[in-house]
Amino acid sequence: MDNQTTVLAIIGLPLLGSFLIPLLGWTGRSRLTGYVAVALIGAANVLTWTLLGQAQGGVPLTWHIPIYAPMVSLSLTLDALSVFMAFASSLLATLIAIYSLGYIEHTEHESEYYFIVTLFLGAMMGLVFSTNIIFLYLFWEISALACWRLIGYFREPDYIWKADKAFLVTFGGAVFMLLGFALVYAQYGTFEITELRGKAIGGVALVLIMAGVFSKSATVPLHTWLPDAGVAPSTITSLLHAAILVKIGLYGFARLFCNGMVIPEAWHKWLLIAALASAFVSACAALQETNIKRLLAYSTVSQIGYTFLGLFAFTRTGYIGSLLYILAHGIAKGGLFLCAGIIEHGTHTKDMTKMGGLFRKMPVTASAYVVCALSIAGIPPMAGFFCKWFVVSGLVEGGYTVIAGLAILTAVLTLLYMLKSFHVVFLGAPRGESHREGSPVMVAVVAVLAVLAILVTLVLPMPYGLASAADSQRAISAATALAR
Amino acid sequence: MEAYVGSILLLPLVGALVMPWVSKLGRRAADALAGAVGLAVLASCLALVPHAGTPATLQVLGTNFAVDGLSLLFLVVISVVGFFCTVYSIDYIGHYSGRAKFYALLMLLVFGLNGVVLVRDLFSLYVFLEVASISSYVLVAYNLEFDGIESALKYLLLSAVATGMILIAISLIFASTGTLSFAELKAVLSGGPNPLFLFAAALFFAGFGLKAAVVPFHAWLPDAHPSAPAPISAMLSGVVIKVAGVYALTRIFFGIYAAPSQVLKVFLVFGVASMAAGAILAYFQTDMKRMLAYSSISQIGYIMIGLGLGNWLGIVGALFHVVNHALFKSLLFLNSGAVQFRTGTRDIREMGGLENRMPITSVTSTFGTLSIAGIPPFNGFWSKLFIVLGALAAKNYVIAVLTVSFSIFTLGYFLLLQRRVFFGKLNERWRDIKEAPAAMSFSVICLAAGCLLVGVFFNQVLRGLIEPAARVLLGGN
Repeated sequence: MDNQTTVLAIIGLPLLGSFLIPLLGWTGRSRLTGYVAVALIGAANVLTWTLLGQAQGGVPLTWHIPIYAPMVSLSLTLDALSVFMAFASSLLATLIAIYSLGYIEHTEHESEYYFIVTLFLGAMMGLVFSTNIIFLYLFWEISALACWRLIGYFREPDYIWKADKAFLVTFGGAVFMLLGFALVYAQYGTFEITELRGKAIGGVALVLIMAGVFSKSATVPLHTWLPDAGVAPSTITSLLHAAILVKIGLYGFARLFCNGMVIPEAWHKWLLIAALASAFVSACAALQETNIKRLLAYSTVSQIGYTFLGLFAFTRTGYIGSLLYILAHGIAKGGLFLCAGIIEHGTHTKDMTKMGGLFRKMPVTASAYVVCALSIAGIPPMAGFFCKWFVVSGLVEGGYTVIAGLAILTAVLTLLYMLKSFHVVFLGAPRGESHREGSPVMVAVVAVLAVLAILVTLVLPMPYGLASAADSQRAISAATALAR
Repeated sequence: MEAYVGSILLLPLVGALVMPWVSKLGRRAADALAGAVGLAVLASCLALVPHAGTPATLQVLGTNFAVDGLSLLFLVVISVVGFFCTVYSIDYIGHYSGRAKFYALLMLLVFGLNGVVLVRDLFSLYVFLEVASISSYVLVAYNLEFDGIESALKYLLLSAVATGMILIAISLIFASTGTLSFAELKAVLSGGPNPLFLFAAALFFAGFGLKAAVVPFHAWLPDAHPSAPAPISAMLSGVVIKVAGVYALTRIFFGIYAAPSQVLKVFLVFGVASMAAGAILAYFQTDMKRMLAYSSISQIGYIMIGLGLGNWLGIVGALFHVVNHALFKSLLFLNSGAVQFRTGTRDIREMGGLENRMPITSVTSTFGTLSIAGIPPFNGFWSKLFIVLGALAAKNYVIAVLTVSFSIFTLGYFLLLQRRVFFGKLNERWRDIKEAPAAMSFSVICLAAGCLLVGVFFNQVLRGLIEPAARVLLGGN
């Protein structure tokens, strides 16, 4: 298969294949749906492996398939950034889909679940390879509507309201982003990101686009939907936090502004302040939480803020650190939410004050939890440490010493609430009864994620190579844009 | 091509006239005739689509009929919605009496609408408008209950005022120029400004604005559309307000008056008022069909805004929105009819969790919701995108921000509808209800598929149907 076919297959398999799943459901083969979903998502992941070499090695490739020329064409770009994102998302999504086989069994609407999850991943794949803004937006919104159905999966009236809230907030941000895109179109007459390279963006358009980016990536003050989304099945929250949804905003920013349009110098400071405020405020919120899924959600908001800091520094080190953290945080946070899912299955509560002493009943889950928590907190041998280190030194390189110092303070807060949650849930005297370890598949998946969280450190040169290739390609394209 | 035009115009009339006799052969014969006529008209319209750029003319009894890109766009909308409403009625109309009368009136309505878009002079336009209006008054009152008759009367009285104004305007123009043909009037006007024409323009705008239910002329619509049988609500909201209102306005103000900037401003102001008022009022409705009716007012506002922008992107967006709104709004009205058919109520507070019992209705209604809110890849996204791009091209930033903001509002009240009616735990009261009958489900599935397919293949629709129509309008500029 040549590269273009591979890219089309990575997008098409989950996106179009997902429509097989409801057909299976209607013909009474709901039991198969989970396996089909795992196969489709897994296939997309396997295909991304074959692109790694091309992505690291060389020149970015772009194909244009005209749809409504010259305004809309399906433009696919194969470069280190897109392959890196596709690889990270589909890897995590595969693991989460396998875990779902144990978790989601015997609930109502099983085939709807697998249908939407596969569609969701397909939208993500489409998003990361598209470099036409209209298609970027299209996949962006497909992910929003998938998220809407999945958050309300358990169909309690309150849950559905929260699903609607998530949809409205992200849609609201996105339409303003679209308005920003339209302003860019009115100015430069194109929706192609590759053609917009090196062009300066106006302040109004930037603010509008950032509204979409921040609402999708749950940045304070547009974050409230994310903790509320914790009412979804744990697999879904894991998917939203780790693999797909909140990374979309980060990716969108990297694609549009690190690899594309130029943000005027004066705005850099304000972006950094927004990201830092988000990281800090939500870390404080996480300290206060007693609901385990809400705690983890606030932690995500905080870590996303951290990742944005690296991108907003506009330095090589910061950029690489952010990309690596997308992967490392995905693995660790995915693991934490899946652990939370096992705990919730076992104890039938999300309230941490009602838990305690679970270490004995759930040794594997507890070990996985502590490994992932330490990675997020940034404790040295873990991948999280290296990523945060890169981000902070990227900030210092950019000349933002004060912000770097405050970022380290936020990391300390992260360590505090992570240790607190581990302490309350797993140590101390047991409370309540009938606690049990999760099903073998579920436990195996969290164990794999914990091992990955450690292994990422050892194989860090590999994603590092990819991330630095992404950075070099960025530098090259910026230079060619200037020369043009 | 003349044969196609002739069959589009005359088949519904012939069908309506022979219906009383055919229905004597039995229920199935009436269904078959109505369906066959609908299908034949639809096929004739689609056969004309490849020739959208080249006008075809036909003369019947001294009246000129012609098809150009703009007429064709509306013909396609009328015949698609008309056909699916007819099919839907096969099962739906069972709980009313007078199946044959219903079909005859529906075909007469289609005849009137087809006539409106085919004629080339003001007087014939008026005549066909009355044909369509009179059949719709009767159809609104079809359930013969208090609310139906009351709202039909309201509709009739307000429409009478509108047609009165239109008739006065036509008489004034005829008295001063001696002609009513579109082409000749345009030539007269290009000679220089004429104060009488300005007065007539105000009358036309009020008259056809009332037909289009533009705020503040909308009062009749939230009563008339909910009380009518569901397929008629779908026809009224999906087609009638557009043909009697939007089409006539564009034909007159773009075709004859050549769209002066004052008129465009009026379009914009009334469009924003409709968009905003319709969306806000829809939010507070508890009657499912009433909410949809207010939403129609809001969407007509979008169309008016697109037209009022007066540039290529805006007009393409507005005309595309005409097609899209016809698809998703008739879909949503037919869904609400299915819900009412099974539960006997339109009050969304009494429903809940119907997705468990009516999966087809629920999924298709989700399609409608996503389309109307403008979520890609559904069709509504593209038309709203073009309207926003048009607003920015015209440097009209206020309009751009308003259209975007109200699309969030639109999603908000449609999510409310989905949440209360379909999504969620089943209300115990509806434990035993079933999915809607086959013909009704067939119609909604086709329309929902249409919403998605038009969105996915938006390129073909734009090139084949919308752009020729936009060229007709801008050619007058």
